[in-house]
Amino acid sequence: MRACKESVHIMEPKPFDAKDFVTFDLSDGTIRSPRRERLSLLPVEILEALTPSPQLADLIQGWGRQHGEALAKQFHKSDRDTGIEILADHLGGTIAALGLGHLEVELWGDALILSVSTASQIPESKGGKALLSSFLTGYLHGLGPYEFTVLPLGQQSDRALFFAGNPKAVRRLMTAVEKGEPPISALESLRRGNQR
Amino acid sequence: MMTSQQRRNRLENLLERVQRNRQSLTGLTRKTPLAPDPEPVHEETLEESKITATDISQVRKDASQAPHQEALEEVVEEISEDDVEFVDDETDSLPSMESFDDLDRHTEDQPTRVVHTSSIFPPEAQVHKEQEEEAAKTGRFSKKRQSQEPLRKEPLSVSSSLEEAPRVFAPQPRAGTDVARVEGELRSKSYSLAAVLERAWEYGTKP
Repeated sequence: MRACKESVHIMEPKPFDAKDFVTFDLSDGTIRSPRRERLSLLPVEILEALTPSPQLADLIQGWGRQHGEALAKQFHKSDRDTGIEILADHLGGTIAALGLGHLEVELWGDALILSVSTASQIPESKGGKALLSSFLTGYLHGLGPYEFTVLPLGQQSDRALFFAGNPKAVRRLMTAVEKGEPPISALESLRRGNQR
Repeated sequence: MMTSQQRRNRLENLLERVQRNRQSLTGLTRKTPLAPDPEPVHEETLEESKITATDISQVRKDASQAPHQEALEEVVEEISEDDVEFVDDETDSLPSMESFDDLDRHTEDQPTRVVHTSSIFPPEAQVHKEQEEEAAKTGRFSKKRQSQEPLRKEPLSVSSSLEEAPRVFAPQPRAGTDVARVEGELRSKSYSLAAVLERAWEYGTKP
């Protein structure tokens, strides 16, 4: 019996498509996402003025989780191991389409760093940092299988840096920063610990 | 009201006065031989004013054959001056205040109709009004306005090509990172999503 390789259908995750990412229904007065989420266009100043709270963080994480789960569903249909590019494409595309900034995925050694341009000024504000870190945390939770915690590291050049790691690593990083160590230097200390 | 007989008498008196004047005028001409000959036009005028007995009888005949004349005169006398509208040329085209009052009364009789429309979908009248205002300012319609596409009335869909879509940045040497190690990873390690997430999950967990 001869194996028929042509019968194996390999599905690649689709690249991020901003078309119909947001649909305006003016007759109904609603703005919806493809997942039928109801959205609202608000000035950036309102987002920046958000006061971080555990309840708000939970809401934003749940929102980000839905977006991460949508991408994860595409992975399950794929027979290939997807490259990191697809995460940068979808997560970056989503953040950009929401008007929250231009996101890039960076690897510092094994550390996963998410950098967002500060052109929109959202990542620089207190409310913006909380919004982005909560959304990114929820997104990675939805992507699975790890429950990353995203921590703002600070600003470098014109980009705000967010560290996505194990909650245990995040706690250690925070402790080092509270002791006065610069965030990026503390991140390097974590790497050295891994190398021992 | 003047009767037909009185009117006829008055006409006869008038004709007699004309004849007398004509005779005196002819005598004056004869008494002044040095005066130049009367111009032909003047003579023609006199000839035209000459009314003979035949003419008078013809007038009488016409009057007797026009019985409607009296009725016409009665109608004219019954029209008083109050009924006559004197129109001023300068205000001829302007409606009077009474006309506005009439207009108000006319619209009050009809039910009030208020139409609210979104500014997103301005009615055609609004567009025309804007064109008129623009024309009043510039003296002409702009080509841009005239060639404007019809306003969309269906829900809008926003799309973006994301030409500058985010891409994965390969490990970049930064301050405090081991450049040699990063370059080694680029050459040897797989950057599959699963592998990257697994390593990132373990990062910093060892004391």
